Amino acid sequence: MNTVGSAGEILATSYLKKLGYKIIEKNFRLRYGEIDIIAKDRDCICFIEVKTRTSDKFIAPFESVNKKKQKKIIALANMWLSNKGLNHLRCRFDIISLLLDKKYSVIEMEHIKDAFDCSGYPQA
Amino acid sequence: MLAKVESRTTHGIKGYRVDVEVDVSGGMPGFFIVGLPDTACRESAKRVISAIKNSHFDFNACKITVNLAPANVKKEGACFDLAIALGILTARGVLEQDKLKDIVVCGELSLDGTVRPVNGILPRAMSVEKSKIFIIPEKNVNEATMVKECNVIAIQALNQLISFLKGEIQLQFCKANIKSALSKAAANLLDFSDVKGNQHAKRAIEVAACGSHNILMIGPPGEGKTMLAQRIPAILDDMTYEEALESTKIHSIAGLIKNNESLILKKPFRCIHHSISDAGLLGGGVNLQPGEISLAHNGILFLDELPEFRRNILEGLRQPVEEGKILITRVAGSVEYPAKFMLVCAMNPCPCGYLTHPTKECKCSPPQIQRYLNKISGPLLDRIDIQIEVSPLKYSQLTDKAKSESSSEIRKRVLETKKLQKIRYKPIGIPCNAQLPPKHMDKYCQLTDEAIKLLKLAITELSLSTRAYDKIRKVARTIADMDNKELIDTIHISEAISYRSLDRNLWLE
Repeated sequence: MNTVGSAGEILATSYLKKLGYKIIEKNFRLRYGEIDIIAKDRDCICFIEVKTRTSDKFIAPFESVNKKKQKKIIALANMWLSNKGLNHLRCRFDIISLLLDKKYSVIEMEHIKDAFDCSGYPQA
Repeated sequence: MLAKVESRTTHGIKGYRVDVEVDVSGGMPGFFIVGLPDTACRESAKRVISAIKNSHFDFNACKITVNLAPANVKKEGACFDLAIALGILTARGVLEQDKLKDIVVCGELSLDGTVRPVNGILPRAMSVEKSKIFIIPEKNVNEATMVKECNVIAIQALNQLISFLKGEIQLQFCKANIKSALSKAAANLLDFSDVKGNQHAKRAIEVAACGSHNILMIGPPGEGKTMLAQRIPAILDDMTYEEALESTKIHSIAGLIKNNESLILKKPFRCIHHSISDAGLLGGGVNLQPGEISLAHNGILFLDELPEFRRNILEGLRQPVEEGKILITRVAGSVEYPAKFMLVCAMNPCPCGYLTHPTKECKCSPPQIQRYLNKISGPLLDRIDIQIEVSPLKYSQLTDKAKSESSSEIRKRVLETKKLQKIRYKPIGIPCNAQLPPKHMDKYCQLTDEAIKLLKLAITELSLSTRAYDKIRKVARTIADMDNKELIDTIHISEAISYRSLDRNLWLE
């Protein structure tokens, strides 16, 4: 198991809870991929991808979530919404990017809301 | 939530209604535009969202579907940006739908929310009903206010528009003084007095200008053909309000009305290079844009070095010269543009240019000359009413200090003759002798008995075609008008005939 990744997800979860988000599900996994966190921000469902790094270079979040990954996340989100019967709700895709030191405490964190949308991908 | 905003698009030089429908809903976030948008239209999404955010309106992720109705008409350009932004804000509850009643919105958006000007505002303005308010970018105001009774509101930025529609700020309708705009025509800098000698060429040009006849000038290089052609606009009348509206519409569609210009007042003078393409001359291309012949509508199309044009381009001119309009048909659709212009052509008599020179010798072989002249086909030549030779000046004429007639003197006579024609042809609605249709020819071109005899002789001796017969009568009508005579007499006919004998001289050698 990737401990750096898991550490990042735990830190991200507590950050979101502090902001008042309601955590609905973590690590929603299907055969072809995984969504790290599914949370609710007031009336909007957020599908959150968490990227954690320990090296000096702070990789821009956009660079790490490329088109292929975006497509996977959108497909997973669609499945999840259909399964729960929540297709009518507003939703968005967020990215939380973390830079941790060797002791797993946060040096830098960025939360990008509405990082990408579905224009250009076939819709369910 | 659903919102509807009315806008306008153009096809050819007419404006048509487009309904911009915006649906904001839950579900996967995205921005989808349907209704056959072209690329610039599809890019609206990015511009509109940035403009909304930078105008400090709340914007979070949602699913936005924009439909540009009717769905089977191609939508081009960025002019729907403003309507789409308005629709999104209404669907999100910033504005109420009933505030959008009876308004028509056109405009492009910048990323910071400022409104940018659009091409083709004039045809759009002419298609807006008098009961509606036409909301447009500020830099298009001078063009739109040229339409009488159009209620125009000028907008600089998106939040200004929202405040106005909410009633938070007041904006006045923009009106223009059309009469004073029409009288603002700029002065011409080129003068006929610059051209020395060649009195008969100047006379022929005056005849051509008076009746709007097509003219071909043939002569050796460097003797003033181009100079003469460039000075023709100086002796023409300015356009009427209706003519100015028509020409401005065409220039607007082609994107040539810039810097908040209002109307085109001086008759267009389009000088084209012989490397021009089919689509450039006749119209067409991806967006079915008007060509040079339509940009020359109500004005002059000048073709210098006529034989250098590709033959198929010249042949393509035949129909528009005859009919005054062009129908462009492509896979993407078809559109008709008006193309009533005065054709002015200049050429050398042979490849080296000196065939008709009195002293210099021509170095071309007869087959070379034939090949050169064959580039201008019989049918095209037939459609040119007046053909004249421009001959070289003697040294004494070159250095003659006496002043030739100025453009303003010639213009006075041309305006008088044009006025005569306008009054005469009011019942049938044409502006000049050149456009006289065959069915009215007998009524308006009455000849004296001697004139009829002379014309009959000329037709049989010179074997002139039926079209040539009509053209001679039209040109004779103009010459008689310049002479202030109602009946066409022999001197008028003989002058008109003299303008058609060149094609016999050179072409049938």
